[in-house]
Amino acid sequence: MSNISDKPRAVEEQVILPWPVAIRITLRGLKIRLGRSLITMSGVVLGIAFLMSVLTGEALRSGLEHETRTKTEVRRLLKLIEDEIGTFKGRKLAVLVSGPLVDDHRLRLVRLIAARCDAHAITVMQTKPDALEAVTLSTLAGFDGSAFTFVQSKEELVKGAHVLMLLDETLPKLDDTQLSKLLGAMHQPVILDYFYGRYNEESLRKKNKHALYTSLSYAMTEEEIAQRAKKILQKRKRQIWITIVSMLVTVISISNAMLMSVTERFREIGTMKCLGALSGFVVKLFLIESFVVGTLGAIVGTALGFFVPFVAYMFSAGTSLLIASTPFTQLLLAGLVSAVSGTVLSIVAAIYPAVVAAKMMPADALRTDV
Amino acid sequence: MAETSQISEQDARDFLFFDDRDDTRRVVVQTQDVRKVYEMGKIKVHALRGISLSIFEGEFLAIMGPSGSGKSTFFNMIGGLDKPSGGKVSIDDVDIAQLDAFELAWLRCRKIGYIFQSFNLIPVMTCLENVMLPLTFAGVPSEQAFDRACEILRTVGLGHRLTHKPSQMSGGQQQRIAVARALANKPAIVLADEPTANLDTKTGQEIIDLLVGLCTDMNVTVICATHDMKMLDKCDRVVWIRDGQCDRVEERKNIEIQVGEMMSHE
Repeated sequence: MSNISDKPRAVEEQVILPWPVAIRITLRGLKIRLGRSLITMSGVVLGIAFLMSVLTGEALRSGLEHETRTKTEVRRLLKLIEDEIGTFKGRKLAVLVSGPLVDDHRLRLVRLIAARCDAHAITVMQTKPDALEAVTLSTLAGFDGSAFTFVQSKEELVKGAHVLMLLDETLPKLDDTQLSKLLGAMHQPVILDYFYGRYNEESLRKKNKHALYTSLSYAMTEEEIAQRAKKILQKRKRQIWITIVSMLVTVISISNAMLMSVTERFREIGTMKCLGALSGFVVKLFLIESFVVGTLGAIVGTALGFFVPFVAYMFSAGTSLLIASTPFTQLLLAGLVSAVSGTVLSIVAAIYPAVVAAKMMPADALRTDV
Repeated sequence: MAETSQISEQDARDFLFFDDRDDTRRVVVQTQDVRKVYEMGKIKVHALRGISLSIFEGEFLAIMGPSGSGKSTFFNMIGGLDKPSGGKVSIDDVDIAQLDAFELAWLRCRKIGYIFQSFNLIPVMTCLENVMLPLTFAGVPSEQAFDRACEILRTVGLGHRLTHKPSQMSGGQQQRIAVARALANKPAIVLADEPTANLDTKTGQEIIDLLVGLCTDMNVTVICATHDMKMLDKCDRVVWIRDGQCDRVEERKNIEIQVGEMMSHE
């Protein structure tokens, strides 16, 4: 059409409307069709609430399981100690540690013992990890309360003590002279070693003929280890399976809600294109709308999916136990995953039909009846 | 070779203009052998079998034909709402098949106003917002768009119902909104697809009068697909479409006789 270029062009290019205009139109639209938007949003809420409640339920259940296991273990340890030394009343304990205790049940054991002892009945010395030398104490988790006295020398540590507790895995294995020194100063020492068979009673008897030695932990047989590994693997598999299924349910629920909300507006999209909307602008509108609906829905869904199982477990397991056992970091992560996946899914599910409709010739979009 | 093809194209143009040589009016819309085939599974439906037509500036053209004759399809073709399977549609001498998405959107926004049988208003928007929409798409700042929308709504007699939703209004009022919306950007062409089909006789007549009045005032070319005999009374020319082909083209003076004949039969 060479003859056209000589004349001024009869057709110009449509202006691209900026984002603020799209946002204004979308937000107004959402406000106006609030009821319908809420129904769409409830699809997202339900999907995400389902996912989140499954994840929360799993986390709470395994948290409770872990808590119960820890409790049983602590009870076993305490009973073992009580069998060995009788009552805690009137006894003095010496505890040797080299750093903060990393696992829950040793910490709790220390607290439980502290609660049963007289005031100042426990002397604590923190040593270097590689030699039996006192280090200046920073605060040690678990070792707070009136029962504890922190000391700086071996002599102070074992003075008048009945029980020597070796609680730390990083504690250096004490050599003969160190042991002799410690045990020699004690009257009828009971040595409680958290680890299995680091020392044996016979050799300790040579240093103090009244010495008693007890390992608090026990060695698992190979069969036990294999069984435990199998159990963990089974649990993992089950968790993965549940997560996949719930993800699928969520995907279907959300994409259905969003797809419906867009396809029922094909006519509207066609009309807008007749009035001069660019495809990109139509897509922009739905992008913003699905972002708003998806984000709000995902947040509400995540909150709902957390609180419903949490409250349910609160009634069945008891508040204090539940709060003690809840793995909050894991749940925070699950919440993040739920919220983000809800938003992303909503946008993807809405954008696909919106792009299809926007790319259609307006006549086709107008003809579509849902 | 190239020269001969150029000459033949020129010949074709001469031939087309020869048709209207006695007429000094400018051609706004021109179709050349426009065809449309819908594929429904294995069956091919020929909705348009080649229509060639020139529409002049300021003309009120009625496209008549029984339902299924392809008049809505033809309407979509000349409005740039659908792609022809064959042939060419030109608006102001520009082949719309050559336009990109931006130009096509501009054309739909600024050059053409559409009025539909089922109004196609956006139900969640108020009357005013519906009319403001094409202005917004044209990039008109919102205050100006507001003023313009108010003004045009007053012209169509809806100045007192600006904030009502279409669902709260009668069919005639909804079609008035649609007329206002179509005219918002001062288009050169108004395309109306059976604008009175969903209305009763009286409101239909009102819409026709409104359309004719406004279009005469604004010197707009009106192309109207219709069944409505009342339309014929107001139009300048009628095109009959039958089975996807242009059956007859009649000037107004001949139609008046025919309408008279039809009246006399009743």
